[in-house]
Order: sequence, then structure tokens, then C-alpha cells
Amino acid sequence: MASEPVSVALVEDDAGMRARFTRVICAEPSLRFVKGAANAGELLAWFSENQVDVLLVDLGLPDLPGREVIRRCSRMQPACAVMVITMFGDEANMLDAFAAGARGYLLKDGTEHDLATHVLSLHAGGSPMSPLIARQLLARWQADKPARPAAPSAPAPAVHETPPTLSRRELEVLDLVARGFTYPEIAGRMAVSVTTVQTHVRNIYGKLDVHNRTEAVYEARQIGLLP
Amino acid sequence: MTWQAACAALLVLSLAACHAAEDTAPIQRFDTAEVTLHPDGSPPAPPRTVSLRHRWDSASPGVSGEALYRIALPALPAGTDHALWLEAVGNQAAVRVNGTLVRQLGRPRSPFDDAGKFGHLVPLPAALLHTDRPNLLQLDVTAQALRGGGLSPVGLGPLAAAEAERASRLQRDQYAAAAYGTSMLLMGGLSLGLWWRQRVPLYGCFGTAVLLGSLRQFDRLLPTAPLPWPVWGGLMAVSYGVQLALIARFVLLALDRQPRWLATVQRAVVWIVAVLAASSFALGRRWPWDGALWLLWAAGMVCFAVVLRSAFVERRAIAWVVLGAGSLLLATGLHDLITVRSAHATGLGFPLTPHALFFFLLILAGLVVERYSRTEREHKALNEELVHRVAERERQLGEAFEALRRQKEEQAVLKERQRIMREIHDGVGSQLVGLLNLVTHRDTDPEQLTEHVQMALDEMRLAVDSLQPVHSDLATVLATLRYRLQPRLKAAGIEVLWDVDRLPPLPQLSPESVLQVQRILLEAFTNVLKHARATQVVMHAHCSDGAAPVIELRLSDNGVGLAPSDPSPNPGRGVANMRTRAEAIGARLWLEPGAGRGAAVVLEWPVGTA
Repeated sequence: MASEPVSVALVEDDAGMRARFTRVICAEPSLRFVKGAANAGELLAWFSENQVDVLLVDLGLPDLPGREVIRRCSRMQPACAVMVITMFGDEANMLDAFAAGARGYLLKDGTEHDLATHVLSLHAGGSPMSPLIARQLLARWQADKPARPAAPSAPAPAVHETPPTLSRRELEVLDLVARGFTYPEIAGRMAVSVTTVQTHVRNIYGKLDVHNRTEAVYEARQIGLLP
Repeated sequence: MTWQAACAALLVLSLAACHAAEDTAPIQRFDTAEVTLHPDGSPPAPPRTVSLRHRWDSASPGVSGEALYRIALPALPAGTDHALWLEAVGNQAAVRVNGTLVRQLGRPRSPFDDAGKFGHLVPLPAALLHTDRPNLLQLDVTAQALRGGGLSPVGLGPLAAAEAERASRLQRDQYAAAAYGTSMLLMGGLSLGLWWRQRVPLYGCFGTAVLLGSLRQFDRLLPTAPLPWPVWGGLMAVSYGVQLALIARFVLLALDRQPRWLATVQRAVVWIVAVLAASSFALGRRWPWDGALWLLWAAGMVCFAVVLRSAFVERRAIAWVVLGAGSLLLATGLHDLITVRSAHATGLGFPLTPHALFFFLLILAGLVVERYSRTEREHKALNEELVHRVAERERQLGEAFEALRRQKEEQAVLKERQRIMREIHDGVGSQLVGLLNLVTHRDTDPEQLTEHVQMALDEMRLAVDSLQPVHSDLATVLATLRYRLQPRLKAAGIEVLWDVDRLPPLPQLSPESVLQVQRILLEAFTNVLKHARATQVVMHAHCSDGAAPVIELRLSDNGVGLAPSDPSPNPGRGVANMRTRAEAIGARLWLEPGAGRGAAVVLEWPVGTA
């Protein structure tokens, strides 16, 4: 474990929830609480001038959609790991958040005492993935494969032109996660290290981001916004 | 109606041209002749003086024979070339001047040759002519019964004047006949073509009438008939009579005034006229043909009456047009009857009927065109109407379909909404009510409170998870449950052995059945957590192969097992609940002792049960 504690910022409009998170973070020696914002405006203003390792974002902010907050923050500080705080971890919201650049999420399920573990794990490069999300991603990529033909008039060999495909190993990871296996179990089954599994998961999330951008480009071209 | 105006103009012009050419030729006419008639089978009649035009058929009805015409011509001065202009002489004739044969017109008594169809210009050789005393013109004429033989007034004049006369006559009759014949052939061909394609009686009637009419026109251009007399004559008479009968029929067809009896009568008239005309020539008698003409006249009058009624009573424009043209036809017929028949009085008369008839046919052709274009318009309109109706029906169908779809959608949404309400009520709702009950007791154990809140949260999470898309994959449902429970199991020091195969897609995996499966398994896990005192739990899921695959879920622990001394306060109730839920989704559930120690909950769920 690094000697320097991990700095954590928080944006959450519910004062009670914010206080509980603050208390938990402050109680943890390996974490350092640096900012607790009540809305997106406050956070973004602070964020533009301060560096932070981990940012906790509530998706239901009053002034800006959660994914917009995530998008802006991850653009301002790519090194910062954005973590979503959510009640349910439902796949639609989560996929949105991941596509916007989030790298982890925390369920408001009364297990906040595990918060430190999750934050440290995320900071160390481990992104969680629920089976529902894995199942959804599998379905999405499998549906994509035959559906989208090569763009008819793709002139420039731009990096984001074609949607990235998942490797066989990545698909295997998704399948195992969807069936309920933990990262260590997956590592055992695939005969790789847990770190490798975590890398696969991170890459999948990364491709999800790119995937979404490509989709946006494709759609923009369809409606004539882009040449 | 421009075509009608054009027809009228054409007629007026042609009549004017004819009349203009009629007079002012410096030609001397001889309107009388001394004739000796010699009908076959009778002795020659004594010579007598007759006025020209002289008709053989009137003088000797029903027989053939010879007639010798003598005309005394004046002394002709030398120095100019003289010529005779014979407008009509027939059926064959030898022209002699002062006893010398000048010209033979047609072979005598030939059934093919008819010199009477054309005017003849006969130049007179100066050597034969007397300059100081009268010259004798002698015409040895042979005539056949019913062939219209005889002699028209004879013209005598300078060759140039006679030439001019012939040219004008040629223009008047031959050219007109050629033009009419060709036009009628065209009209008839077109009309019959239409009839061939569409089988509309109107077109067939008109086409036949016009083609028969053209036959008569072309006959006037033929110096030699293709068939011998009287066959050819009969043919011409039949075609003429049938043409008129068909015209009468056509007029009624065009007006759409067609009572059944009238149609029958008209058809009969056509046949009767044909038979009468043919028999007239076969018998060599005039009266059947006269009968046919009377019959035609009667049919024409009936037709005229219908047209009159249509024009005056019903005020139909088309009837007025037919009436106008028909009246013109009748007027010219009257004119011909007076001027041509009683040629003695007026000298040279010429028949107007062919012109009026042609004009009438033009009008009728216009009617055919009108009818055709009307039918076309009607077809087009009908087509458009049909297209419109099909589109309308399609739209209605689409709307009905859309309404049905919307209704179904609304029903589905309503049903789902009701289900979710029921879930909230039965699940989280009942948990919260129980919790309220606990909280109101002062001496409630905080641990028990926590447990109860935990259960309420679990219930809510399950409800939310059951609404997530699982893509018919039961493994994902199990996985989600583990994902929720894993921290709690870990905290309780229970190791999870996860042995979940790839499971086939379950079509019956609705949110409802997902929730049932989750509740069953949650109950089982909770039992393990609370009562089993186990250190390990194994989740096993696999699908049997075969025609009717069955998914088996088995959750076994290494705890205290199903000992009768189970400390659980009401062990039976949880299991009964699980069984009921299993039955609700068409599965079977039972408990069994674990391998060695502990217990196992087993759920068997056939793939494809509703």
C-alpha cells in the first residue's frame, strides 16, 4: 500500500448521505477526504483547480445529469478515477456512467464500511462489474457484430471509425462475470492472474466508451451533422 | 366539337366547288334523242323521241336489250377540233358518227364492263364531219336489267371545252369517290380494330357500315367489275342496304336508347334488307329492292323518332348533333330524289347523297371517338377510384392495426404496473409494516431491527433486479443474487463454491419468474446464514440434455442438516413458501440431505414451461 493516502472528493446532494460518506472516509487512515460538494456546479468549480485521486459522484444531482459531470471531470483529470454512488446499480444508468468515463460504482446498501476497500481497489486499477452489466454488454456486442456494416463512405482512417471489437479473452471474462464468478475464480478458470482479469474489465469499459463515441459519430453522420 | 365544325366546313366547300363547276361551259347540249328500243324477247318498238336522261330500267323494266339512239348534230365548221361529252351512257355502247364507228365503250353485253360509271370524251375526227349539213350521231347501246343503263344528255363542243368538262366531272365524282372510299376504309378499319379488342357492339356496327360504304365508293372507280353482273350488282345493293340499316342501328346504340325489341327489329331489318337486295338481283326484278328501300325508310323513321325524342325531350347534345347531320342527309336525299330522278326537267343534276352520307359518317366517327374517349375517361376514373379506395382501406387497416397494437401495449403496461404495485405491497410494504411494528415496541432488540431492515432492503433490491434485462439467462439471475449476497456470506465466514454451467436461454424468464427464483434462493441462502451453521455452500446449476431439457439448481451446505431437532422456530413455513413459489413458475422443489452432512435445496425447472 502506498504510504501517501488516497485523496477522495465527493459530490452528493443528500446532506445525510454526504455526512455518512464523509465520516467513513475520514475514519479511514488510508484515505484523505478533500472535498464534499452538494451539487455539480460547486464540484466542477473546485475540480478545475484541485487534483484528486478518486471522485465519488451521485448520479441524481439537481443541476446537471450525473453522466455529464462524469464526462467533464474525466476530461479535466484523466488520471482521476471516477466512482458512481448508486442505490441499485441498475444496468442502464451504469452503462451510461461507464460510457461517460466512470470506472467503478458503490452501492448505497448499508455496506459503506467497505467503502475504503472499494476505493482503494479502484485506485489500484480494479473496476467492479455486476453480472447484469456483463450480460448486457455481451448482448450488446453480440448484436453489434453482424448488424453494423462498414461505414459506406469512411474516407479517413480515423481511430474511432469502426467500433472496437472485444477479444476472445474479454468475451470470456464477460461470460464468466455474467454467470456469477468472482474475479479470483475467473482468474483460476482462465489460468491468469487477478490483475489480468482486472485489466480485461478495464479495457472492456474503455471500449464501451469508444463504442459509444463511435456510435455518436455514426449517428451524427446519419443525421448530417458530420461529413 | 371542333371536328364537327370542320366536317360542316368541308361539306359546304365541296358543294360550292361542285356548283361552281357546273355551268358556263361553251358546250351545246342535246336533251332529246330518237330511240329505238329492242328488249330481249320482244320485237323492236317503233322509233320515238325521248328526252334525256333516258333510263332503260324505266322504259323496259326487268329485261336486258338494245337501244339505238339517234341525235341529229348540226353542221360543224372546220378548223376546230370537236368532241362529244357523254356524261353517262350504258351499259355498253358503240358511238357512230355519220355511220362510222368512232368509239366502242365496253364490250357489248359484257357482264363485267359498265361504261355508264364514267363520263366519256369522244373526239370527232374532222374527216368524218360534214361542214355544210347536219351530222348524225348514233349510239348502239346494250343495257342489262337493273344496271342503270340509258343515256344522259349529250354534249358537243370544242375539244378543249369538252376536256374541261371531263376534268370537272372527274374531280366531282371520281376524286370524291376515291377520297371518300379511302377515308371510310380507314375509319372502318380503326373502328373494327377497336371492336376486335373491346367487343363493343357500337364499334363493330360502325366499322361494318363504313367498310360496306367504302365498297360502294370503290365500285365507282372500277371500269371493270371483279364479278359478273348481276352478282356484282347484287353485292353492291346488299352492301348499300345493309350499310344504311347498320347506320340506323348505330345511331340508337350511340344514344344508348336500345329497347330490346328495337334491337331485335333492327337486327331483323339488316338481314331482311340483305335478302331482299340479293333476291332482287337474283330474280332480275325491281320490287324486292324497292321493298328493301321502303323497309330502310321505315327503319330510318323509327330511328329519327328516337333521335327527335332524345333531342327535344331529353335535351341531349349528342342527339342534336345526330339530328342535324341526319336531317342534312334526309334533305340531300330529297334533293336527289327530285333533281336526279326527274332529270328531264333540270338536265344535268348530280346526286348530293354520297356527300351528305359521308358527312354523316364523319359525324358518326366523331361519336365513336367520343364514346371511346369517354370509356377511356371512365376507365381512368374507375382506376383512380379503385386506387383511392385501396389506399383508404389500407389506411383504415393500418389504423385498426395501430389501435390494436396501442391497446395491447397499454394493456401490457397496465398489467406490468399492477404487478409491480402488488410486488411493492406484498414485498417491501409488508416488510416495512412489520418493521413499524417492531419499532413501536420499546424493548426490541437492535439486532433484530437491523435484520428486519436488511430484509426489507433485500426485498427491494430483488424487485429492482427482477426488472433488469437478463436476456433469458437464468445464470445471470443466480449471479446477480450472489453479487448481492456475497459480502454478507463472506462476513458470516461462509465460503461459496460456485458451479454454474452455461444454461440454455429460458423463454419463460419473465420479471415475475425471475423474482420467484430469486426469492426461493434468497430464502435458501438466508436459511443457511441463519440456521445451518455451515462453513461452505455450493451453488450448482446445470441443464440436462435430451428432448425435454430440465434445469437443475442445487444449493447445498455442510451445516447441521435436516435434523428433527432443528432450532428454527417454524422450519416448515419457509419450505412451504419456496414450494409454492416453485409451483407458480412450473418448477419442482424439494429438500434432501447433503452428501455427508448438511442439506440441499433442489429446484427442477423444465425448459420451455410457461
